[in-house]
Amino acid sequence: MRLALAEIRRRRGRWASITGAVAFIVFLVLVLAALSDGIFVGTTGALGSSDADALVYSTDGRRSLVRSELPIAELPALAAIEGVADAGALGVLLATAATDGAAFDIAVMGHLPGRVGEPTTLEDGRHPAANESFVGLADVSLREEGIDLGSSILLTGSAQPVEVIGFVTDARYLLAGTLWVTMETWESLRFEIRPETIGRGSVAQALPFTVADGAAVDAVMANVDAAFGTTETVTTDEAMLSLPGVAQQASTFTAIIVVSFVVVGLVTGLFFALVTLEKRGQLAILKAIGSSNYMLLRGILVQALIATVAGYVLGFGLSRLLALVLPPAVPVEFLAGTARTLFLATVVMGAIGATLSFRRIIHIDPASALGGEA
Amino acid sequence: MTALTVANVTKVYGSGHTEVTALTHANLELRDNEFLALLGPSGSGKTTLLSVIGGLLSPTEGTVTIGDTALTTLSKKEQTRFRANRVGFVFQGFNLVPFLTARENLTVMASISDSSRSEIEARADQLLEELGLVNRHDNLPEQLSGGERQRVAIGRALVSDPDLILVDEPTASLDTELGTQVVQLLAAEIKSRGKAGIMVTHDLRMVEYTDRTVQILDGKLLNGAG
Repeated sequence: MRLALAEIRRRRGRWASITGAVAFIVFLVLVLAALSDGIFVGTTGALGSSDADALVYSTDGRRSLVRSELPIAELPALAAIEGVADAGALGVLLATAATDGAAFDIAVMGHLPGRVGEPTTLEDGRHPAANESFVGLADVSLREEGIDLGSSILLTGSAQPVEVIGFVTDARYLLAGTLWVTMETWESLRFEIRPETIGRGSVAQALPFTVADGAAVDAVMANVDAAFGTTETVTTDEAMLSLPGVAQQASTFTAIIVVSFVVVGLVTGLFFALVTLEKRGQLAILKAIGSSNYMLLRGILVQALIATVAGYVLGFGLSRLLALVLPPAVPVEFLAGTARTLFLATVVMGAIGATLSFRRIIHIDPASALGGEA
Repeated sequence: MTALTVANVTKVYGSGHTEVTALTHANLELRDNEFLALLGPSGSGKTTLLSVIGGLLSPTEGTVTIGDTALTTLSKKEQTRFRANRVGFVFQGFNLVPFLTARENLTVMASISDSSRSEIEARADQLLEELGLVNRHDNLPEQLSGGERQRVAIGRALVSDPDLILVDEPTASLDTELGTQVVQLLAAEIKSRGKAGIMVTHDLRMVEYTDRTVQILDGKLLNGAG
């Protein structure tokens, strides 16, 4: 251990190179992961910000909030199913809004105040009451459009504006800012903006529900579909991954991140392979005077741990600096859980890479230390 | 007491038409407090014999016993441990760890041998004084002269208090004057501790500092082996 630490202390240039290489890759991975998380949260936040365990869609809606339609009158029947603790309603209306003349995309989300499905991430203001019309919660991203508490948002095609009475975080839908209104207000706006939907009556596009303590989510979901016959019930996680492009985006970013970690392993492995080759004589001497293979491996692992942890810290710092200068429009989310996972992956890949050179060490013949070969 | 017994040791490299016999039925005994010179030309088998005695190579036939331990019956792992505690090596060309100071090149044995760190550090400080390196203890090998480096190597070989010191061509990288000084110092250190030592050399001038000389030629020990 002391030998490994002394080598790092006295060969700083060499160790700075591997630390820098790891830091660069970690920086890239963290930025990619932040973009991935940012896009994921920005796309699915409307579903993820509620505490729903599952959502009921109409079968022909194929897990799409836009295509699915369920009569809101089915809600009491859903709430009565064994294992359902609370049930709510959800509707989405993609529209164009304007404040002070500037137009922007917005997703108007219908929900039942106080019931499951409403966002639980209130940052400022208050939730609308069940009987309040044309007031709503705005996602904080709408502040960039000049929206503040008390602002009125007028949707294109609608005559009556919606007053913002609160802000919620991480509640966007398909990267558009959301405006959360009661189902009654949502229906009014929908009929105004999409008059072709008037004939369809009072519908929700999904019925979110929570499961009672002790009940199995899968079993309750099966009960729901059995009771209605024309529904497809999925967990909230499945619903989020079913949103357009989300699964593909997630798998693309995951593939890039996994490949980057393989590169961390390869870079570390190559570095230690070169170092081992260069130190072959020295390692032969150490083996000749009684160092065990285990002791030499332990030293390499300690060095790999220090290089990867230092590289991670440096890469993490750089990625956070970048986040400070990125424009707000770039969807980045630095999540603590992702950072922890990537830290572990960095350390593990570094250790695996370093361990690859162990085979070379085992094959170094201590007898080569004599006769001037070392 | 007998410090080392080499009994009927043969070492053959390769097999079939590539077979080379490096040692043939070698027999050698060494007592405590005895410093022996192993003399022979290049390719005579000196290094092979030293490697077999030090447990770095396994003999094809025969046994090596150091003190009361039959080295040839130990597993590879046990031989590594045995070398760490009972055998000291001085290599050609110094072969110090380049990023450790002179003192650290001695105290590194605390991580390798079973001796405690405090024991090793105390012995290291004493050896550095005896070897005239007190003022150089904090220098890296690249900051030391050839003679100083070889003195550090001697210190490393002795710091774990081994029973047997094996020295491989200690003067190969030194001029005559420095080489003589180093071998004198080496002999004094070995004798003052009552240890047994074998020095491989082809330099006849160094023989006078040893108790006995054994010659080796074509893998055969020629004289005074017993």
